[in-house]
Amino acid sequence: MSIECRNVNYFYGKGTPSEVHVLKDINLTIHKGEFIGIIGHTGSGKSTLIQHLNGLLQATEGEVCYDGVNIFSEGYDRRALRGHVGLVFQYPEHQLFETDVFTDVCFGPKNQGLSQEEIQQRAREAMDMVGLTEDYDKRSPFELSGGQKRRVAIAGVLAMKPDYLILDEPTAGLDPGGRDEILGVLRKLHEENGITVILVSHSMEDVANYVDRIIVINNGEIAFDDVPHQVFRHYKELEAFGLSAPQVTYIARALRERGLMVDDTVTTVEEAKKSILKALKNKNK
Amino acid sequence: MLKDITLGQYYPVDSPIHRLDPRTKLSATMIYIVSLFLADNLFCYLMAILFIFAVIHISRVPLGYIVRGLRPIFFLLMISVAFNLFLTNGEPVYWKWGFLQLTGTGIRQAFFMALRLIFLIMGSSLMTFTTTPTALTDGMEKGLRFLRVFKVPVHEVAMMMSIALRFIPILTEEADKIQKAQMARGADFENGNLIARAKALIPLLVPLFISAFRRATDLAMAMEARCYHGGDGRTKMFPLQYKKNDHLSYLILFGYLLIVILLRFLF
Amino acid sequence: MGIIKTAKLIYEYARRDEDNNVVETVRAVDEVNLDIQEGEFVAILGRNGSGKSTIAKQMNALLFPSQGTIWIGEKDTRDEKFLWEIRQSAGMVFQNPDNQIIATVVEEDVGFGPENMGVPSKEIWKRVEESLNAVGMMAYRKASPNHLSGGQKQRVAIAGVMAMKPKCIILDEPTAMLDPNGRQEVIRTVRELNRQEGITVVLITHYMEETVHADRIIVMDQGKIQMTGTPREIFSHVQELKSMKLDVPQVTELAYELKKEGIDLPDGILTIQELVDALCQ
Repeated sequence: MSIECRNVNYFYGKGTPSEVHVLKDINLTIHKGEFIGIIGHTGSGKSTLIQHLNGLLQATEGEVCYDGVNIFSEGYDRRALRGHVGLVFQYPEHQLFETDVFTDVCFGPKNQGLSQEEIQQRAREAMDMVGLTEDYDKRSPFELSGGQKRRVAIAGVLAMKPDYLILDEPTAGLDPGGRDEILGVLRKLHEENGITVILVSHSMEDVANYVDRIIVINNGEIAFDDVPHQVFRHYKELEAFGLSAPQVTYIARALRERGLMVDDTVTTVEEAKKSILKALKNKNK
Repeated sequence: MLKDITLGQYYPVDSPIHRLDPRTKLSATMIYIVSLFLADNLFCYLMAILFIFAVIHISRVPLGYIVRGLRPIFFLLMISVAFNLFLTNGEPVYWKWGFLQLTGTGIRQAFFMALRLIFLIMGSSLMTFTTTPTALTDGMEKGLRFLRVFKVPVHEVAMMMSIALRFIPILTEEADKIQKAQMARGADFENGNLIARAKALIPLLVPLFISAFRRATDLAMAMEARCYHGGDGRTKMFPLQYKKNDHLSYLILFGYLLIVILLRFLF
Repeated sequence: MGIIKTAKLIYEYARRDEDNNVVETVRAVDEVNLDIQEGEFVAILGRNGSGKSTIAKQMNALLFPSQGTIWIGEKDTRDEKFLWEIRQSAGMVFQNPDNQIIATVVEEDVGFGPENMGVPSKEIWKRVEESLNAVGMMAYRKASPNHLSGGQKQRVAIAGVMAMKPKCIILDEPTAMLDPNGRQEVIRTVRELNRQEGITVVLITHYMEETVHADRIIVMDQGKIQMTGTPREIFSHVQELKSMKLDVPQVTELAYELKKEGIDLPDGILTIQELVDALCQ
C-alpha cells in the first residue's frame, strides 16, 4: 500500500517562452502509516507536488502510482482516488459554502454517491475526529473562530474516509493556540485512526515536533528525504534553501562549540533539555 | 482557461502609441468606431484596415497577440454572420428554405458585418494593449469630467474600474484554487447535463462571492485608512497633459475620418 | 502626553441573530489605558480575539470608542474635524497583503495616500521615491503587485503609509499570512524605520519572536492588558504566557525548563547567545 512518484517532471506553460520547470525528476514512495513533513520555501514546488498525488495535476513526464497502478492510466477513476487521498488546501475554510457546518461536511461523501445514512454517519465521525461536538452541527461555518473553521474544513475531507491525508500549510495564519489545536488533531488522526498524514509546512519547529520523516524540496527537486535528526544536520544547506533548522538545533551547536558536549542532533525543546542536563552532569563529575 | 484570454491585457512595450495621452487614445478609439459605422463600401473598409495596421505597426504590439485576443469573440462573430447571411431579404436569391434564405445582399451584409466587428474589437483592444488600466481610468476620469454636470459619478466609476482590474487576476487565481479544493472533495465540474453542471458551480461560486466581499470590506478599510474620501481635493501623481504627439494624433485622426467620409460619398 | 494615549478605552459590539435581535453585547476592549511615546517601538501581543486588532483600528479612527477616550497626537478621535489629520499621522498596515494594495503598479499604489491628501504631483514623486527606498523596494517601482512575494507586498504597503509622512505606523498582524522569510523581511523593515527615521511603531502580532527587539511589550487577553514591560520582563513569565495561549521562542522555553530542573539561569533569556553564555560560564 503506497503512493509512488516515478521520475515525475512538471512544466508550467510547456512550449511557451514562459515555460517553468516546476518539478524535476521526483522519485518518492509514501508508505501507509507514515507521518511525513514536506518542507520548502514559497515557490519551491511543494504545493505543485502534492497536487500530483491525488491527480489534480498530471505530470508532464513520469508517473504517479497508487497501490502500483498509474493514476493516469486508461479508465482510472480519479474521483474515487480523491476519496482515498484526501487533500486539504491552504486556508481551507475559504472553500466552505453550506449554511451549516454538518451539511458542508456531508459534501464529500455525497459526491462519493453513498446512501443518506452512510453520508451522515461519516460526517458525524469526521466531526468527532476533529473534536467538533453535535452542538456545532447546525451552526453557520462563518460564525466560528479561525481554528474551528479550519477543523470543519478538515472534517469535510476526512468524511470521505481517506487513507492518506495531505495538508498544505494547515497552520498558516492561525495563532499559537489554533496551531496547536490543528497539529494535535493531526497527531491523533495518525495515532488513533491510522491515517497516513502528509504535512506541508515551512515551520521547522512544527514539523520537528510531529513527523517521523522529512522531505525537503528545493527548486523543484528533493534535496533531503530522511528522519528529522538527519535532515537538520544539514542546517547550513537548509539555510541556503531559505529554510532553517529549529532554534534548539542552533543552541546545541553553539553549546558544543563552547565545549559543552550536548547531542547536536536534538530537534525539540524536550530533547535539548535532556541532553543539556546530561552533559552538565557529566561535566561536573 | 481564463488566464489565456489576451483581450484587454496591457502589452508592456514602449512605443509612440504607448506614450500618447490616454484621452487621445480614447478619442481615437471613438473616432475609429464611428468610421467603421460610417463605412459602407469596400474602399472605406480598405482605408480603415490600412489605418489600423499602420497604428498596430507603430504600437509594436505583435499582430499575433492581437489576433489571439479575437478568439473569445469568435462565437459571437459566427452568430452575427449567420444571422446576416440567412435572415436578410434582398436580391438575388440564391437559395431559400422556410424563412431562411441566402441572398446577394445578405452575403454582402454578413461580410461587412464581420469586418466591422473584427476591426471594432481590434481597434478597441489596441487601446487596452497600449494603455495601462490606471492610465485608462485616469483618462476616462479627466476626459469625461464634463459628465459630472449631469450627476454622473465619473471619479467613482473610474476608481471602481481600476480596482476591478487589480482584483480580476487575484479572483481568477482564487477561483482556480477553490475549484481544485472542491474537486479534492469529489466535486465533478465536467460531467452531467446542463442543470447538474450549473448546480455543481454552487460550491465554487458561493466561496468566491464570500471571498470577494471579504476583500471588498478589507480594501474599503485600507483605503479609508489612507485618507481616501472620494475625488474632491485629490491630486494626481501623473497629471494628464497633452503633448506635441497628441496634437499631431488628433490631426491625423480627423484627417482619417474625413477621408472615410469622402470615400463613402464618392463611391 | 504620548503620541497615542487611551483612557479607560472600552469597545463593545452587539452580536445579532438572524432576525437582527441583539443576542449579546461583546466587550472586545475593556478599560484599556495606554500611553505610547514618540519614537517608541511597542508590540501588542495576544491570541486571536484578545482585542488587540480592535485597539489598532481605534488608533486610526476606523473604529471609535464605546466609552473612554483615545487621543492621537493629543487629538480626540471622535472629533470629526481631526479625522483626516489622525489618519495621516497614524498610518496603518493590515494583515492581508493583497487586500490593501489598490493600484496595479507599485509606485502608483505608494502615491495613493498623498494623492488623497492633495499633495502636489512633484512632491508625491519625491515622497514615493523616498518611501520605496526606505523599505528597499525601489527596484520594483514599475512592477505589478501581483508579481511580488507576500513580504514584498507588505513592504509596498508600508511604503504607502510612509509616503503620507506619518508620525507612527500601526501594523495589524502584518506577518500572519507570510512565510518565515517574508516575516523576517517585514520585521527588519519596521525596525529600521523605527531606528533610522524615528517612526513610532505599534506592532500587533501573535508571534513572540517578532517582539524580542521591541522597547515595550503589552500583552492582551480578554480585552484587557494583562502584562506590560520590556521583552526580558515579559519573557520571564513563561507559564502565564502559555496560559494565554502564547508561544515563547524555543530558547526562552528551554531556559525556563532548565531552570525548573534546578539549573542556575537568569530570568527571561531572549537569545541563543545569552543562554550559551549563561550555561558555559
